Amino acid sequence: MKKKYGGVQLILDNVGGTFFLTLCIVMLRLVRNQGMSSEEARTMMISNFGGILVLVGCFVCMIVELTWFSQYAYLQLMLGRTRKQLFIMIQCVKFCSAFLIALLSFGAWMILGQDFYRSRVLGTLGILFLVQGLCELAAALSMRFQRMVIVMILLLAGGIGFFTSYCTMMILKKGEVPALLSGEFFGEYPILLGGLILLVYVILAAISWILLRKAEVKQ
Amino acid sequence: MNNKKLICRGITKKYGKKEVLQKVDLELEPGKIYGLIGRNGAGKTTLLSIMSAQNPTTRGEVLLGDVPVWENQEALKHIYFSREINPNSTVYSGLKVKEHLKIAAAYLPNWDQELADRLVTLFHLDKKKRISKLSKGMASMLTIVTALASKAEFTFLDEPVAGLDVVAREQFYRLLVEEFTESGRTFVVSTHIIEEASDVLEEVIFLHEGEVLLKENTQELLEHCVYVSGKTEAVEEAVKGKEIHARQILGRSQGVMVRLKEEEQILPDGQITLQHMTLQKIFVSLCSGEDEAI
Repeated sequence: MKKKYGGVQLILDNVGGTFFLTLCIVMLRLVRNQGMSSEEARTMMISNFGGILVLVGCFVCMIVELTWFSQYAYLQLMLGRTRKQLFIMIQCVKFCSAFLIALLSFGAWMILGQDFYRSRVLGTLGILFLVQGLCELAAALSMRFQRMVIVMILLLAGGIGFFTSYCTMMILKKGEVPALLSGEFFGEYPILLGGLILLVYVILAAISWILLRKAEVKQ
Repeated sequence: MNNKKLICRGITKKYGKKEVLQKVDLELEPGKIYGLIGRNGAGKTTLLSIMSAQNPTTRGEVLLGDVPVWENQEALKHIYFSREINPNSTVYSGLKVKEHLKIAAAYLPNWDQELADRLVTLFHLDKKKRISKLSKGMASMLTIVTALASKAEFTFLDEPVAGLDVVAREQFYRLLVEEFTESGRTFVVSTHIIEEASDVLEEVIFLHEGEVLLKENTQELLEHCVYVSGKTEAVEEAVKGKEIHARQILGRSQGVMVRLKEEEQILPDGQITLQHMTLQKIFVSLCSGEDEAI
């Protein structure tokens, strides 16, 4: 029997949620800029599905992961799953979600005839991995030490605040907000910085496991 | 049924500096109904959560047969701890009764859907209701449904009758005995309502301040504990050399609980009175100091 609220469900929530929310933002921007020429509309769609989608992806992954950890992780532990199983599952979810969201983004760039280069690939994947890794760490921290749930709440509140204000500004200012996550900050050293991101990600995952393997189930 | 014992070896659990469980050694045999009895904060829930690998120990280990239970998926298929549901917990936020049962059905390998449906109907549980909106009694019913339908060989219930009315409590004990007779599963029931449960408990485990005070067959315990009262001198003479608890002195008279060993006995005479004790009184006598006893 397919495990409800298991890994596949989480990946679908992440990718589906990201796509749907980005679509909503695109629709809002189209509604707000009704006089837009078809060329302008096309450019706007590129920036949304290529760039903002990654930001939306980070936001959705954060919400889904933190809420899953605060509810279903406990339920599954109560129902006889092991911490190791949960950890492996969440790593798969992180990888698959990041790759699928990145694919959506790259697909959009390609369909709209834009180039995508190595630093953009690394930037997109890197930011998705890091955000998810950070959320996993905060969640594992709160599962191990109940008082540390405040870290998770702060992260969630900060994430929602940043995302909402960024998207609102973007819609109000008709897209004149600096695009994030384009990967340009990788500059001339994409491999070095990519390696650095990977290292940070592995460290985050390792600390999460250390915390998670002795996580306490409490209500 | 695999007929393996569930064994706790030197379980110690600390939260900060507080030692909630202190070197607990315990063996649960298959095919028995155990009562886990202790005062608030005695460590009952902690012990059950450790035995079901929901929480880690600070020291010691839990074995099913000779296999550690911790992080062991195979062993955990045979153990289920149905925790007391706190409707206000984030764990259940937004969940409906039917969703909770669906998740339980997905993860518990021996789940009996037919039994779950029958119990939901019997307890008049509204499947569409959110868990956060359940009353305490209804939440208890949900823990009972999940526990019984789990069909786990070792099933632990934490305060299953909390908040239940007397009819529902009777239903629960009847169901528990029915299920036990039919399946031969092992149940551990933690409860504060001792008298009601005493008839169905084959063995009792008294937990006091993180230590196992006693683990004994209920019937034998009831037979071996007597309350001796009378004039102080006569009582002193009658209980000399025996295990006594909770001495009460009232002027020139006194009363004391005596726990007799296998070959020991006290014969009534005109000077002293012997009374059989209830499980609750035995527990109170064993757990409380002399001045607050009985």
